[in-house]
Amino acid sequence: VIAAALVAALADLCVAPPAPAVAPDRDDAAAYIAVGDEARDAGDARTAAIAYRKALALDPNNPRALAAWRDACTRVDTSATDRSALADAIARYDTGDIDGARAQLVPLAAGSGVAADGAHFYLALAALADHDRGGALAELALARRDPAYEPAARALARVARRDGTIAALVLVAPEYDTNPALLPDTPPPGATSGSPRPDFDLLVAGRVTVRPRPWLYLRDVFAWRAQAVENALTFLSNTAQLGVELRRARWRLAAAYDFGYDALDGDPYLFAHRGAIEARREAAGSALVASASLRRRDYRQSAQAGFTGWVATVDAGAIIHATPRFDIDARAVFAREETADPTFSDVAIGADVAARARIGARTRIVARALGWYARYDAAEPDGTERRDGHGEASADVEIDLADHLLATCGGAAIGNTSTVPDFVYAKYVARCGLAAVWGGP
Amino acid sequence: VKRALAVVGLCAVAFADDGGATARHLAAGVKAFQDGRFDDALVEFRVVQRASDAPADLAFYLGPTLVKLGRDREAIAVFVASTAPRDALTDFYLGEAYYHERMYRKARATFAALRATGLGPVLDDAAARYVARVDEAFQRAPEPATVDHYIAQARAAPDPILSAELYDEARLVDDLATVHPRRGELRAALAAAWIVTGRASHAIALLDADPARTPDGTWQLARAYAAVHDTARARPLLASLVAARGRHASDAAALLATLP
Repeated sequence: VIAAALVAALADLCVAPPAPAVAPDRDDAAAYIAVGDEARDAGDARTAAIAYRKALALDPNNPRALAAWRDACTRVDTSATDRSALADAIARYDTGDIDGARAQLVPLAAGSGVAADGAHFYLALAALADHDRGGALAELALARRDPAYEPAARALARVARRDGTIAALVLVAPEYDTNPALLPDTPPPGATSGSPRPDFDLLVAGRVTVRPRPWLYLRDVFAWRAQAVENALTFLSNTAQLGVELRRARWRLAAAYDFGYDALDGDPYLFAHRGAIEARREAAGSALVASASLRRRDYRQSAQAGFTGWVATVDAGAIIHATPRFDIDARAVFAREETADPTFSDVAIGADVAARARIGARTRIVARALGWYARYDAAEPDGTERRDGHGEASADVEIDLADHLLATCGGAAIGNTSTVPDFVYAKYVARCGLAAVWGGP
Repeated sequence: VKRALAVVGLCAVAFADDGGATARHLAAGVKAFQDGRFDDALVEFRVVQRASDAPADLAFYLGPTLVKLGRDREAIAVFVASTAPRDALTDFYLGEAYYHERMYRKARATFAALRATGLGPVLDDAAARYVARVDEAFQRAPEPATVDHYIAQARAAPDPILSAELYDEARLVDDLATVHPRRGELRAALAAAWIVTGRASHAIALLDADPARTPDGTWQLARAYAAVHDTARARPLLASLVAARGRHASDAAALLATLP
């Protein structure tokens, strides 16, 4: 809009000579010409053109004013253009067109104009989108010369130092769990689960991501939960993932395959394969998102054999960037579970809402609420048709303690109601811990 | 701000009634400013600036126009060079020009001084916001690279007044830093810039009581005393530089020879 206004103003100034003034005045025209000459010599073509034009209105036949006006109109005010171009590039970045924004930012950053520092800052953001740690840090070093960008550049440099061709995270967190018998990634077993026995545990989790290319990644995620008392529930899970993340203008497309292996008290518990795709369309202040996945679960212990089978999920929704520090991700969810035991096969429909807030430069809060209604294929042995209402809520706070260290505290509540009393349960988990994060090279 | 500009307009119209060409251009400039035609206003004020009967307070008109056009560097030069008595509204525009040009410490000092002397509620709120924004940006001690940035800008500035302002910004930023690797060099350069732009008294105030003054600083202090014709203080400084046989010895001797 700004650029269009500038072009229009330039057109008014330069398209045709002005209409002659009612009262010609050569002395006044000379005064304007002198101002025009001074502005021209100072490189201020726009002011020169206006001054010469005013001179022409008062002295229409002045050949020197006419020639000087035409000459001035061939020159452009680049500082206004630079500011406008930066604003345009930022708007483009905000709508998700990172590559388009980058193409506009590179020449601005290469110059020494008023927009150079801002261009470096946004080039750092673009580099981070590609997990280009070195590129981001180099751009931030240039951007932070300007104190206006210094606080934001410092916070972003911390993010950059945690990313790169290889990125790793290790979390150590003591937990309190009111119902550790409800294992991760496992449907409630019903009558066999018994009454809950709360326990403390130590959670050690980690993640290593390797990116041979900006769009290709290999990731391994592991978690080890050692119970304080209920040793038979000590749980180990490891998931290896291969994924691609593609970007074209405002579109994002991601696809991943992962293989998971879980062990319970040292014995094989679950092998799982999963394929997933996600599409996302960015826009100013929001994004539309949809994803689908198909998962095969093979439980290795006889008690869970009835759960073996397929899980298909589809979700769609929107991510709203309500403010620069607050995002909401809301999706409708549909799931189909098809298990060896038809009493555990179901169709579920629900909603998943997550909110992410950044408080200051060091604190982040993520809260999530998830709920669904499930209808099961087969009746229970007593003829009861199972219908479940499920809800989960969680909140986590992360505080950056240093470039490579953060503290985290969180809690989760899970509740399930059912037409079958065996499947009515609740579980609460609270944890606090420290995480070490590193990225490079 | 609107009320103040209305007053400007009334003054200018009254001036235009005098009938001279300068008054006519001044009135045309104020009218263009009020209409938001800042390019036209600038041309009219430039015509006034060139006239022999240009008003002493032309910066009051020309400076805000340049700020409105985003030509903050020129506005700063106009405001700083003006010999007219200081005015709250022009100082407010000066503060904004400093802020736009990222001379945040200069902007903060300007807005804080304005608040201390009293502003209307609207301008006071705006000034308070500027002060708060600068304080937010400087929560942590600045790094030497920030000082280097302003020094580089000062060296590259084509206008000596602007160069002095950028050196002064570098000095204010340096005062907040925890390490001062370029302090002596910076102060000498700032003093030189002030002397060149007719503000030798500023240079004297900066360097006279500086316990860590470098030979460069002593040379600039001697120049400043000479510029204000205080030969009694200039002579011993110049003599000490000649005796020290440093890189300013020959210049000091030459200047010493010119003193009455």
